[in-house]
Amino acid sequence: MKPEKILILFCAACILALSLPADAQPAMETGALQAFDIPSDAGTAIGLSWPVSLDAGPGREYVLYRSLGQDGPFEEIDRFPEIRQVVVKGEKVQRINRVKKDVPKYFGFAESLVGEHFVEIEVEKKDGKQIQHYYRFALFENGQQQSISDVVTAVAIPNWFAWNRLNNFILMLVFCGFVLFFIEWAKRNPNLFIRRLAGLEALDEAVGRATEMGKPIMYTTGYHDMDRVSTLASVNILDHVAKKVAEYDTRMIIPCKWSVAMTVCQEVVKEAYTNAGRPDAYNANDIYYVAGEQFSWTAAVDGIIVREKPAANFLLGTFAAEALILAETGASTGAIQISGTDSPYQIPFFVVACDYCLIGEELYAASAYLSREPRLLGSLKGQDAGKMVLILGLIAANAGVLIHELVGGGTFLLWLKYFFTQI
Amino acid sequence: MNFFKRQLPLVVVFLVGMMLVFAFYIPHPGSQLVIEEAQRWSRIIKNSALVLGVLSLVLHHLRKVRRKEEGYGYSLVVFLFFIPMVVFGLLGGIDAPQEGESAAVGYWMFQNIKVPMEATMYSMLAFYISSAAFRAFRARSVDATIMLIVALFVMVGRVPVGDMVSEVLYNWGLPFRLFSDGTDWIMNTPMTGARRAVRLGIALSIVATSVRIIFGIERSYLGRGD
Amino acid sequence: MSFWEKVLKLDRRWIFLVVAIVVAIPIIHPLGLPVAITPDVRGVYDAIENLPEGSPILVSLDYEPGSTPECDPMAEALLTHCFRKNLRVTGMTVIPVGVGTGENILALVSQKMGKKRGEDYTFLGFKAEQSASIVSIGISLQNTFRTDRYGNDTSTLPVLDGVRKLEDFAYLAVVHDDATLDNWVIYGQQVTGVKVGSLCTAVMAPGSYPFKNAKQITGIVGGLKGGSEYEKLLGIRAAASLGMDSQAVIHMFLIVIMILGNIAYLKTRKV
Repeated sequence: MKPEKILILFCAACILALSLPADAQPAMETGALQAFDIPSDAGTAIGLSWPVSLDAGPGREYVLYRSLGQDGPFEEIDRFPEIRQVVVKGEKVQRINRVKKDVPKYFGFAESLVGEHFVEIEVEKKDGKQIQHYYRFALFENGQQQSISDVVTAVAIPNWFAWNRLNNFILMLVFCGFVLFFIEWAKRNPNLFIRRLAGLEALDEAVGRATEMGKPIMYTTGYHDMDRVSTLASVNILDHVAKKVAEYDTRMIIPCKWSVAMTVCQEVVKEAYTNAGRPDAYNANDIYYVAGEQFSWTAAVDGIIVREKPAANFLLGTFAAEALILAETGASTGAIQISGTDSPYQIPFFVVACDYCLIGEELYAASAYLSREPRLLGSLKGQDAGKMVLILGLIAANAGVLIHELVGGGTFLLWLKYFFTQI
Repeated sequence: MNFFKRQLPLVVVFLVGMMLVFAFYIPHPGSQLVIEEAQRWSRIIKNSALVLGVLSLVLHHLRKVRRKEEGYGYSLVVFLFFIPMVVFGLLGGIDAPQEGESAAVGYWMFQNIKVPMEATMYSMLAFYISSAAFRAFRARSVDATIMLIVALFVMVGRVPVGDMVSEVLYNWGLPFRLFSDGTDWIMNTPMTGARRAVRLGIALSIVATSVRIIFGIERSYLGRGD
Repeated sequence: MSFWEKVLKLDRRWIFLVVAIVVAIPIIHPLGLPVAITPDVRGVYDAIENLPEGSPILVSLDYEPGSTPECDPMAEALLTHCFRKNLRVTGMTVIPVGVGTGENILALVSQKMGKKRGEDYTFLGFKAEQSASIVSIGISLQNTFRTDRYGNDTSTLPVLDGVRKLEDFAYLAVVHDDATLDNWVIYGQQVTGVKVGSLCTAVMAPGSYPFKNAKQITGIVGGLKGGSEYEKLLGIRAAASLGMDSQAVIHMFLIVIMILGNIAYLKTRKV
């Protein structure tokens, strides 16, 4: 090469070097950092994503900066290591820090998603208006900044449908569809079989026993108020019991833990007496509020059982620790006890301490069982059909996961597992 | 009048029920506002109804005292505790005292009367489970016998005696710790499986019952007369 | 009436009397029965033991006053462990009455261990709407609890340094006597991946096993037995260990009366 050319090249290199800013860093690929609205949310967060570096390793960390303007000044808002330790099957292994594939509810299971980091940032609001921020991130290695990204921004927008709950929506429609279909079907096919429920068969016997002995009946709708479906189910049974009680002119005491439940029970029993042609026999003083606290209510009901000595106790609804206390106190007075609860923790106590126990869904089936109304029986059939679909789906999902674990491959199998396990 | 007692409640139940069901799938703040408002209304109604409840309680016991009915002494005890708790609770609150402050009377009553009494009621379970176990755990049938044997096994496994016996048998050559490992297996496998099944059934029943109530098929809570 | 018929008709008050005696004697004269450590309790202990010093830990104290005899010993053992390891403890509750019980046990243990409020621990208090508040903590702790129970700004508390949301905690321990663990797992662990441990009453323990089997929680400390195992791991003998002696004796008594009742039933049963 001629000396003149060497001199020109040398001068050009000097000019280039001098024109660079003293603190210039290698810029990250333009467009590498992306900001976007988080899908399926209430407009409370945005997401940032950027590619996982090919040189990923320990000692490297990302620092996130934020500013009110595109040109700064930027403040650090978060930092995290590129590699993190996670425990997989009891062993500590190193993994790339959060990537898009870690959040399938937003991005799915595609393999390409392991190549993009993801972080979610809650937006700030002032006077109800979103404050728009600008973001950039920098990569540090052993404390030294290696590269820095472009500045990006995004606005969080409230979404009208939660796509991450699509599976829940589909299952809800399928199940409700089954229930409604079989309700209609039952109108044309009224003779539906329902297996015998000993506790419900004994209702009439219990009321009759109390009438013969001249003793009252005690009925309780449980620990929760009318906002619980179990209390509604109990009130549905109360309707039938109240009808019998009105016909036989037996006294029924209902100590309530909640005021709303008390007023509903009063209405139901009053209607039952009116329809039985005995409105004068209805006594609102026997349906009253006792206490709002768990054990205060329990003590009050125990006192009623011991003093009034009812011949029959109905403990139907959701119960907590007081279940055994109530049941055993009732057993000590020699009362026949019919219980029913959807609380799995208390079912064993009721099974042991009561004469009859409705377990879980039997409490909810009681209304259909007692009335034998085709529409209600049809809903039970629809419930069973929906349960069968769910069982088959769970078997398929489990089989899929097993196959995936053994031979790998197929995001379809992961989607199947996700469909039944993520709400 | 029938419209307000029959049709209107059904319409309200349907509209509110459908609104809240779909609000679960709509993350938009407007929809979340619906859920929050419904929850707020629910709290307001519950707490307003509390006035009815307290009134019912007071009238019930007042009537017993006035007529000197059997057991009216217990009604006097109700007033003896009810009135001071309400008065001091409203005047001084029941919050824990901050550093340097003395405890309010309401707080003292809560901590030294209510809390020990609740713990006492809870403790009664120990006595009642004993009498229930003696009375009801009988080998009346095959199912009851299996339940009895498993209950005995788990009861031994959950106390140090079971651990000691398991250790002795293990040292004698049994390849596993009988009561310790056996109890763990029972809790982890059949018990968990059964519990999951019961919970699944309950959850689906709740959905089905809710569908019946929302669509007005189930109307027993309104009282008969349809 | 034959002996076995008398046994069948035994007045329950005799049983109550014997129960009272057999429970009281081991409390007065402790038996010192050995306690074997189960993998369930070890799961919680090891998870906390492996945390680096100064790690932030969230303890949700969700139990009612009636459960304090069973839950307080577990909570005390857990907090003792946390303070021994110099972890930064943040207490809170998702049930209204949990404020009293939670605040009391936290104050008791921190005082015993010489810890300073604001620096070593704090108590955030109660937030209504369980699931909504857990979701909110998952997004921003400071937005959910702007101040702690004592009026201090949560964004400047030393104990919450570096903690902005649920996943920033190294561990979440839920001490509960009801199904609050379900909400913490569904809305907390599933969404943020935070490690969770369950410390619960014996009645609630079966409900925690599905989560443990699905590896959504690291372990279960169930009832007084779980508490005594935890105390043994810590090398102390406190309320749970003392209670285990009584529990062991009462279990044996229950087994004896159950067998006795069945023998009486079989003897008197007409074939």
